[in-house]
Amino acid sequence: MLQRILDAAGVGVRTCAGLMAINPDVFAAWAAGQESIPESLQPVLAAALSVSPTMLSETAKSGRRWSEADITPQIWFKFKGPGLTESDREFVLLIRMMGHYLNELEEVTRQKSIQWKSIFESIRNTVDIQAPVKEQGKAAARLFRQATALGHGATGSGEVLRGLLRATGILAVEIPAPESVLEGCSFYVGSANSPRPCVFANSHHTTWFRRNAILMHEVGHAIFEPFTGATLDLINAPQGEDIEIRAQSFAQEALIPREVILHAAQSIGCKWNALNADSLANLVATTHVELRTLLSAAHEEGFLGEAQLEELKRIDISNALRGLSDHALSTEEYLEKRGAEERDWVGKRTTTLTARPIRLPIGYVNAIVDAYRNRQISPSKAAAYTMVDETDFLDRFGDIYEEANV
Amino acid sequence: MPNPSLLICDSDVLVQLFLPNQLQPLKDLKTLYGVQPAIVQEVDLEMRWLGHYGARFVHQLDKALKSGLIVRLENTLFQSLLGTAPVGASWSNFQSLGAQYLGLSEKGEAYTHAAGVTLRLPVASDDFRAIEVFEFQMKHLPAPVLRSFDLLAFSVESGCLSLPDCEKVRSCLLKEKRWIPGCFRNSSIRDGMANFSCRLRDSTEAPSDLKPPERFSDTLFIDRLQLG
Repeated sequence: MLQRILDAAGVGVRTCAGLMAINPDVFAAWAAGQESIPESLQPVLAAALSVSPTMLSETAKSGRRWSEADITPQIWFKFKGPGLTESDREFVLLIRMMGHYLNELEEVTRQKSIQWKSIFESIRNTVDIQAPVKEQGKAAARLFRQATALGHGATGSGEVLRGLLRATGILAVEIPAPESVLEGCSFYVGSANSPRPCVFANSHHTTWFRRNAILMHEVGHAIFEPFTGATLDLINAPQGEDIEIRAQSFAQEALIPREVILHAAQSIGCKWNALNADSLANLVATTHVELRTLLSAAHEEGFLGEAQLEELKRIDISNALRGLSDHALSTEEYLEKRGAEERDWVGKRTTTLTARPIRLPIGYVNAIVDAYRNRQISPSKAAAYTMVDETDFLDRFGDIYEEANV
Repeated sequence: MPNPSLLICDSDVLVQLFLPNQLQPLKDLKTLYGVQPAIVQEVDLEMRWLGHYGARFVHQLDKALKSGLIVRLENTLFQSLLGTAPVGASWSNFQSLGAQYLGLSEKGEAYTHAAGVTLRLPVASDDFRAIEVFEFQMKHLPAPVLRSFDLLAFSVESGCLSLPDCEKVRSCLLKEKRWIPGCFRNSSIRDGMANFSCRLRDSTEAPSDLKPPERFSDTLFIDRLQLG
């Protein structure tokens, strides 16, 4: 049965074995039905592959009653789409495993938040689905802001965005995926009884300002498209579909509603009819959203005319922005500026036991290290979560048990 | 007090014995004391793919399993032990406790400790950090938890493992940067033994008011089989 699930997902035996730190021969024997999968491994494998654990214990004979459509989870239909490769599917497996691990960690540390459930439900129940899609997105964003700390001020929210998503129970993952055409995606992770929305932004060649918009765009998809398995946004893909327009208007209104534009313009003394690269960069640095989204919001709120909008879109603010915000620097530039300590921290987040090294999200690694330091998980568990050897983990984060009497 | 039927071993202890290829302590326990070394399925899995070692121990593990030196604690064997296990012990309780412990530690040690607690059998594990976490989180631990050096020292004391052979083990583990108890880090096996409090002893050394081990750090006294 496992082989059929892997085939349906388009994931290789070795890839899956590598990610789960299982001997490939053992994994192949499970896939071929020669050996049964231990009960202890079924939950994580089921969560990674998005199937029920009981399906994994089916034999080839008993599994014959299932058609391909029955065993292919929605998410894998999407990830087998044109232009997507095995590396994209590998990332999905990895992120789904991280989601499972984070659920497990939050159970142990008693920090599990399911606030997203009531927020999403209230939005779905309140928003008029007969309204134009753009208005649906905006209405949803206004409700999202009211229900969270985003609505508490009129300043840019990029600095608090990731913490806020985490606090509501939304898993936000930003990983550089250079071989992937994905810019962002959203799907649900965890078991059927304990799902949680997961939003992903590819941090390869995207600025922090752009990623703020991507993450919220994906939250918009998670709210409105919970039953589609996954929503994928590809690099440079047109945004003409209704669901894309809705997700984009959600992101825009959530990050840069009228009050944030007004406050930012006032605080930097901006004159709408005399904008240049410096003042635009200043607006971007203050509002924490990329230029494209900022201009679109300012235009919709009536601060900019159509002709002015088109003219301003052509202005390159990258140099001016670099002088105003560290967030505008590339990873290399940022590390150069912040020195060895920061470089060291980036190194500490890089996996060594996966087939290709992956830089794990800061929030995820911090949660693991905190649990380890608070003696809530053992170093071997922390090492498994960070996908490194236990010795590497202790070298990276220190051995708090060094003085233990044994 | 009868000898325990099994000693459930965690991966790190097996690695300590597999690296220097010194399985004499496990052989002694099985043949001279009737204590069968065993591993849970999760340790079997770990030993077949273990961190930076990868598949290095697969051959040694298969050999030990094939010869019966080590057995897998599977459902059938587990059921056969229920006669001497605490009331209420069952495979499903073991799996459920293992799943709980899996939240705190890696699969090998989680299910090894869960098996030891469920069946009230001793285990062998060098992962004192996991033990600290279990204690801190007020989880039950098997009694006792033997370390690899308890097995080695016991073998030396019982005359089955020579001091030079044990010294070779120590050198190998030092070279591989493996864990070694403080008293052996800078001292030879002979010198270190004086300061090492071994948790496994022959019953001829047992005190007259011997009580069953209750804590993970208690000493286990075992009887040598009367052969022939």
